[in-house]
Amino acid sequence: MTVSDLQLAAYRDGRLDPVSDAAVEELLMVDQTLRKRLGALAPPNRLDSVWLEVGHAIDQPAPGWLERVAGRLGVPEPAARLAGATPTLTRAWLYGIGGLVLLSLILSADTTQGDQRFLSYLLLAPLLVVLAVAAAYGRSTDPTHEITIAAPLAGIRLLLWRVLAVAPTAMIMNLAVGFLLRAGRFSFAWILPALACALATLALTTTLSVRRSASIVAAGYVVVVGMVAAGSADNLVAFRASGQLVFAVLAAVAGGLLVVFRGRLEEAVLR
Amino acid sequence: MSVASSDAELLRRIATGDRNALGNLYREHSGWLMVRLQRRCGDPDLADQALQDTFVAVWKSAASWRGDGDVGAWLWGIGVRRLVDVLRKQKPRTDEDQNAQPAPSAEQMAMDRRLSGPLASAVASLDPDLREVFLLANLDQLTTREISILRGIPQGTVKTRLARARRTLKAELGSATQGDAA
Amino acid sequence: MTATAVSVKPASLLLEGVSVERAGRVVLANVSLRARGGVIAVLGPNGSGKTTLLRALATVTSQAAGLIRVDGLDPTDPSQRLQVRSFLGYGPQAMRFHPRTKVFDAVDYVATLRLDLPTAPRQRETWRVIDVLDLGRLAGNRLSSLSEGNRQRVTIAQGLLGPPRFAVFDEPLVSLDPEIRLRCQNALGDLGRRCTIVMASHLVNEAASFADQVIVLGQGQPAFVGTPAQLIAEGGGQTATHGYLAVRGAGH
Repeated sequence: MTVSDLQLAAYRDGRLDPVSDAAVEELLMVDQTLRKRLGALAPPNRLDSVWLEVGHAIDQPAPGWLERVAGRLGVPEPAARLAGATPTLTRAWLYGIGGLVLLSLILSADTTQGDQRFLSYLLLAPLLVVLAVAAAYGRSTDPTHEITIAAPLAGIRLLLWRVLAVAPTAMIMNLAVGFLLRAGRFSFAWILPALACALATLALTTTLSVRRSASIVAAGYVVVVGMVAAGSADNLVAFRASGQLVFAVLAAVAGGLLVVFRGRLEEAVLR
Repeated sequence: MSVASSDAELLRRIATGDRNALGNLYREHSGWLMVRLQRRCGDPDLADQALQDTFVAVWKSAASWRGDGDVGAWLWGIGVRRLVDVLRKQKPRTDEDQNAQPAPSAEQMAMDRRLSGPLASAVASLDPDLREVFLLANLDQLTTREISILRGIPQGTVKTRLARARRTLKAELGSATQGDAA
Repeated sequence: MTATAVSVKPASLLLEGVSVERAGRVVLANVSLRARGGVIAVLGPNGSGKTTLLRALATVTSQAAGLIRVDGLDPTDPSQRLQVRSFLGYGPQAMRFHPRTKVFDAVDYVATLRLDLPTAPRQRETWRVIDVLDLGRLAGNRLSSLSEGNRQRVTIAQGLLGPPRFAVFDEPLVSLDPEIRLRCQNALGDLGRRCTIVMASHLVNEAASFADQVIVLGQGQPAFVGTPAQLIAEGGGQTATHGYLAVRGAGH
């Protein structure tokens, strides 16, 4: 059977009678010439733009592992992108996580102390969250700083996006380590301290650089909790009910300061 | 056939990472694939997406081509399955979409690869719903599940329609028919 | 097809008596200019305050005196610069990125920072600028594997995202071979039809060949401001370089 140009155009538009339509379909499975003729009836601009997209799909690199993991943990794509494209973050990350896992393994080996052995874990877990905040925005470690600050997303929004990208991972790592240590309810005792430390870091950032704020908060936390533990028979006293209440109040105060001075944070994070 | 052998040659070059070869293969086959894919789904955007996915798949898996048979038929096999994938990933259709669907959908049908003579006219005379499902199963070699995704109807309905189509064809053509593809 | 089809008005630029001081010495004095759309080439030797002027326009420094207005906003004022950033494209000199970042990821990172778009349209815009600079085949390559010229193309590409209504490029044409330089000039020239571009360069003839206005900075002297034709005329009608030398030599 020979197919006329008219019939071929009718086939393209779905207007051909069923019997001829069947014949065209059949011929297309084998007939190179008919394919070429039908191909000539396809819109060239659509073919061009599909070809362009084929190139894009082939050339676009797959997201890095950090981005994929973050995405799977429910981190929004822009946040994951911003975190993934900043390798400084990744590195700070790996050190933090590696250190915590290592320490947790060392600590879990010593089972003689009962609950008291969880002190180091509870001291370290909030620090990982503070590290996440500090790594989230740093002029000295971010080679893209010049271009970053000229973007409308600079400042507080970017800081919060990045915190959002790294904080869930920090939380999950901490919980995982807690379960690894079989710390029971102490697996959650670091959450309020971590929240207080993170908010305090952000609040301090309204007047100091992110890194300095993080260092002060981290040092302050370790020293105060360490002293409280040393001065008491129960070295976990800071993480029992009364201690948790103090951390909750601190978190609320830091959060309040952050809200009041959020305008200054916008400028401050550019330092 | 020279075209076929040059297609095979293109695939061999694509397997080595030759982008120009992919461009040549695209020039050769994208047109008819686009038209035919659009006939299957009635939506230019979905057809374009399926065509794009087809050539990306060719780029990634050119090495898996066994080196015999017709490259065009191989491409079509990939294309129609990409189309099913594209439809699967679509958000569930809204009521509005469903109302809009029947018009283009009614024009779409596929024909069996061995269709000719009395079988062709028997198939052509089938109820359009039955004909469509029968042809997708036989011409495009799609599974019940794939047809159900492509057409947006439950798998049970696909099976019932297939069975009814075969019964009707058998009745019309007598027991000698070979159109009842397994 | 995407954002390019939208007709946008270039931002207006107004400079009045702009000066830059460094260590108590005036290095850039009394630049005045008015523009809307087109390419403004800032020419001058190193240390003439080009980069400081450009960084002030790009909202990243306040170290310039005088009146600067971009669409009526002061880019050196902390309370107004966020608005400027919403339509700004910026290609700093020798833009730095982590070397292991891939080309596509670098541009898409800036797109994420600069454009408030969902993933799919944002990545389409990323691809648009990558295609403008013909960087598609390099999209999956790490920046560390690129030549200096290709890294320069990445810098220009990210500056086209949006597209911006006001753009600042510091030495965008440096270390490009002639063919690619022409492509970049065309890209900037095209952008100049719907965007006001300020571009620093020490390549006088190349910059003058497609600029609409030229500023020549003299060391501590008031600068020459005019069209490329006027600059060429200053050099006795020979080349822009002749004009440049004449203007600077005469301390215009």
